Amino acid sequence: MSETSTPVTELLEQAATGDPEALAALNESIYPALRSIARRQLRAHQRGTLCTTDLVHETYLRLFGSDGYQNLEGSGHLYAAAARAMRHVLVDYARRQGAEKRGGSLRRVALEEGKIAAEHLPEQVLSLDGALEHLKSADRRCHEVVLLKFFAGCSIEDIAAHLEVSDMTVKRDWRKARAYLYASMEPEA
Amino acid sequence: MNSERDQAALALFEQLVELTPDAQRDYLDREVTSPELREQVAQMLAADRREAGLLDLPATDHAAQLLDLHTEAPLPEAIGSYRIEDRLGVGGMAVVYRAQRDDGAFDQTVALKVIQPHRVSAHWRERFLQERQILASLEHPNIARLLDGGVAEDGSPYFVLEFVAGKPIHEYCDSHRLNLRERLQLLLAVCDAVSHAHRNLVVHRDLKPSNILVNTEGEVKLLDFGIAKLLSGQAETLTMTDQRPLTPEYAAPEQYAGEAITTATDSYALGVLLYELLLGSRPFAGESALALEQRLSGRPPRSISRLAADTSEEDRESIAAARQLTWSRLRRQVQGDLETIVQKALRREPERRYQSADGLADDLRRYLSGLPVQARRASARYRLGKFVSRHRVGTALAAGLTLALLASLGVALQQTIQARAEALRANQTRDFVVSLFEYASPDKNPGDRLTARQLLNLGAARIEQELGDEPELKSDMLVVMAETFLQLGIYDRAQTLAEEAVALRDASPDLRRRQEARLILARARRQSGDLPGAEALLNDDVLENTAGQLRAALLVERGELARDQARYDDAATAFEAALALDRAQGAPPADVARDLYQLASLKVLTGENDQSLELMREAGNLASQAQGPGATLFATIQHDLGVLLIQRGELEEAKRVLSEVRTLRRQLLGEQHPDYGATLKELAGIARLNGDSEAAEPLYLEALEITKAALGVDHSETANLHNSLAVFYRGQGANRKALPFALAALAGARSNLGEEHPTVGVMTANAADLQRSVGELEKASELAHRALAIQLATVGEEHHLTAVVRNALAAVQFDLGDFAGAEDQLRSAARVFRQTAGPDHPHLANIENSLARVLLTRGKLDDAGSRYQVALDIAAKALPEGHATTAVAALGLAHVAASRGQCDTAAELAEEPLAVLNSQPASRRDVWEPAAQDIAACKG
Repeated sequence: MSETSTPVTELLEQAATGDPEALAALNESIYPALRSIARRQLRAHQRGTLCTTDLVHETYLRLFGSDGYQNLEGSGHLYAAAARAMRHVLVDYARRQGAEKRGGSLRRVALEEGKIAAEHLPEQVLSLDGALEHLKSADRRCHEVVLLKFFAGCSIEDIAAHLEVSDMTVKRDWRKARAYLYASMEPEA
Repeated sequence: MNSERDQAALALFEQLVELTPDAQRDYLDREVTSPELREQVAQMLAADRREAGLLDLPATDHAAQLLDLHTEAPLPEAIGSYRIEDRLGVGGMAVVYRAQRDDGAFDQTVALKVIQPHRVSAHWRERFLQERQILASLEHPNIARLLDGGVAEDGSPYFVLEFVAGKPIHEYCDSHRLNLRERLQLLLAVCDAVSHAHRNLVVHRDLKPSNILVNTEGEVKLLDFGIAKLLSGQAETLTMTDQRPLTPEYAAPEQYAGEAITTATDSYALGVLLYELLLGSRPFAGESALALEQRLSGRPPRSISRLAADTSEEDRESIAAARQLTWSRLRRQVQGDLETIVQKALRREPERRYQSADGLADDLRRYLSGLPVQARRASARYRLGKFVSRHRVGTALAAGLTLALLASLGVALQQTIQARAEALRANQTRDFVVSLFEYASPDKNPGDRLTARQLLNLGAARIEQELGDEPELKSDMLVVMAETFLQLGIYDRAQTLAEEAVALRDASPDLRRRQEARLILARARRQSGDLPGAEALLNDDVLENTAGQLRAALLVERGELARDQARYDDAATAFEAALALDRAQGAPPADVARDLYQLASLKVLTGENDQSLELMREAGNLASQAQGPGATLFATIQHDLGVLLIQRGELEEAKRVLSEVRTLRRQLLGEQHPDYGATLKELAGIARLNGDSEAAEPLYLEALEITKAALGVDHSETANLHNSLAVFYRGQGANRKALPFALAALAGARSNLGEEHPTVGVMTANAADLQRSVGELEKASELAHRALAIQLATVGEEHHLTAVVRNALAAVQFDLGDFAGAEDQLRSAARVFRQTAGPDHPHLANIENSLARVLLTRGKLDDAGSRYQVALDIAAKALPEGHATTAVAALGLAHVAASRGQCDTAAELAEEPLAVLNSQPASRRDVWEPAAQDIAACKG
């Protein structure tokens, strides 16, 4: 199970800088595992109980055993890694989805509360991805907060501890970032 | 995008986000020169108010949805006895397939909807089955029929619908180049289907073109009742998920605001659809957050000329061509009745829309038959309503009486703060005390029910008798009793007992015990008004050698004393020290919450409302975790939070918070408790500001009843409520009903504040104005003169409150025919008000209007004209379109023209302001009606 040559941590670092090869490698190593776990969890749990960190946690355990995992956790990188992995999964799915949509495999889509219309989700995700990059150059900490909160599913308290700021600061940053991103993203539909 | 601008936008956002939307707009317009930056911040602020979107669900949820969407999963071969042929659509809750019945009996294509495998929890199952049940209850040619239902092999429920091979209605209309009449006919079929649902108490809630298909025979079919709502016939509370916005372009404002969903919710979506079918665009420009903001603020849909400006000529002509018209003909056909119908369907307030699809259908039929449409009748009122909804708080502030309300609100909050801080302390001992008396009563007082006070007195006597030789225990009991008396507000008894406890414990070697007793005594002295006595107990060395929770409690008490002595800086220092200490020592959440609450309350007194709000929220969060006595504290904090939110105009949140407090307080305190009454009063205020007078009135009256019974008729809270009711009825135009409340409020204010107080002056003037309005001119005159005397004695000539009072006096003099006297008063009022409140203050327009009216009556037409013009200029600048003050000024100019014999001009000038004024239920008719009559008489 752990024959992969490049450590995932490194892949993640490289992928985060946009290295296309690392992305591809990451895709191959983590992505199938993530997906199968996600599928299984989705079936086993109901809405809301699935948490990204669990998911990544399990992925790492499966891919690299407990040593690699502990290194990550010890240095506080787990959250960041979880966020990157989830962002990657989402964006990648959204791209594929967009491609398929043009092929026309989806039609009328029913809606459910709180959900983006499924047909708009891929473009929303891609649009968020772009807006995040702008946010990063304007305010790094806000950017970080979004990664941790939205993608990694961390609590305010955890984020505060991780970034070594107060809860209040995290809440403020999140509010700012959320408004910024919504304002910058392509409108839905 | 550039990151410098982004940084500026983030900073500005942070600075403005806690302000009201109006204040935000003002600031942006005034201070921010770059249009791009202004737009970006406006969009961010609008986005901040939006409830749900991509970022508001965890990424995993979206991942789950994308995984589901990923259509690599093979089609199931069959479900039940249906052969699956294709996937028609996938949603969060369900998948829809095209299928054939497999038993060969019929060759029929159907749509089969099955719940998503991961939505098998009870909640989603119920949802899904509800849709099926709703569909089963509906039978209408324009609603896709339910054919069958069952449970698949894996246990997932499914149902089978008529398969509709068709196009979304707008595409159908365009591709068939339907003209307006044909489009309206189709929409009428939609309305019929929706009304059928409405008659069956079903609200669709997600009407939009993709759910309204037209098949090849040209028949409309309404689909997807997946989020439809069964109305229970009563107002119902909706769960959070029910409140989420759905399809942004079609969702009604109440769906965003989380307000009640009614059949009028569907009327709104139909209105959007009507606009779109007529004009080929959606009613609000763009689909950005700004468009949403416009909708929520009650702005009417884009006018056709606006739409034309937003659309290229080429697009315009192609839109018109799809309707077999030119743009200019399309424009002519839509302008007028159709546009009015659209406006009525799209009103912000559900109660002002078509109440159901039937109402809209009726008006469309009337239009098609060339009859006058119903929507026309209410449109002048609409223009006013639009303003009211956008500026609820502003409107309320424009009413003269509100000046007094504001003054009393400050007092009320202050008293609340002082009274409540104690509540939390004694709670934990209350049980103990009650148990002490458990065996005290039945035998000794057969048949009598003891009041809490009697019980406590009995207990105090027993302490004397039974514990005389046990000083430690006796002092413990005394401390407990003293705290309980304090909590009941019986300060003199508390003080006596605490003195005794201190005397006993001063002999104790235990410093802690000595200080504890001193703390109680200090509190009792402070509360009974003996501030120097309290101060003597709380000198600096009281803190020496003291640590832990007692130290924090002493710090808080020092802070409260400083606050009561108006030494706010000292108070803040003490509260902050207590807070830091409690945090450092890991005190229970209730203690930290208490410290935060004290600090938050103090910030209200010092006017630092933003900080107060933040602290109050934090205190509430903490107190919500606290057990037992913390619940009372929690209710107190949340109540005050609600009041702060009202002050900021955040009525939705305030309502939510205070409704919770109401429930909590009913449980904790019962319905006779004055605190419960106080919460009702705030809820009434919210209803009033929301224009929901039907809800406000009973709440006010109940609050008054409770408060009067609990605190007495002279208590300041009772006086506040009388005042609120006076403001409320006066706002309704019910001056006769308002008058007794205004007089009662005045009496209460006098007994609380004394005769010589500017608030009493304003309230006296308010009472005078009400007396005048019901024709009691002598009483009015007496009150108005008294009011002026009070103001002159307290705030002096050069004060805006004096100007306000002079304005009221002048109105009385005018009615008495003393025009010269009125002119003097008003000239003085206008001068002072302009100097003190500024030349743009909207109330100045009222004063100028009054002055102009006097001048006109005295035949000084030139003067009158220029004064009306001044009023009009101020009002046009400071008040929104359609405001009564603006209309009165405009009508005044017409009146001047009429007085000069320019009857045609006058009639023309009067038309618009009269439309506005006639639409107002009662406001100041006596002021403008004579002018209207003169103008009419002139024309003959």
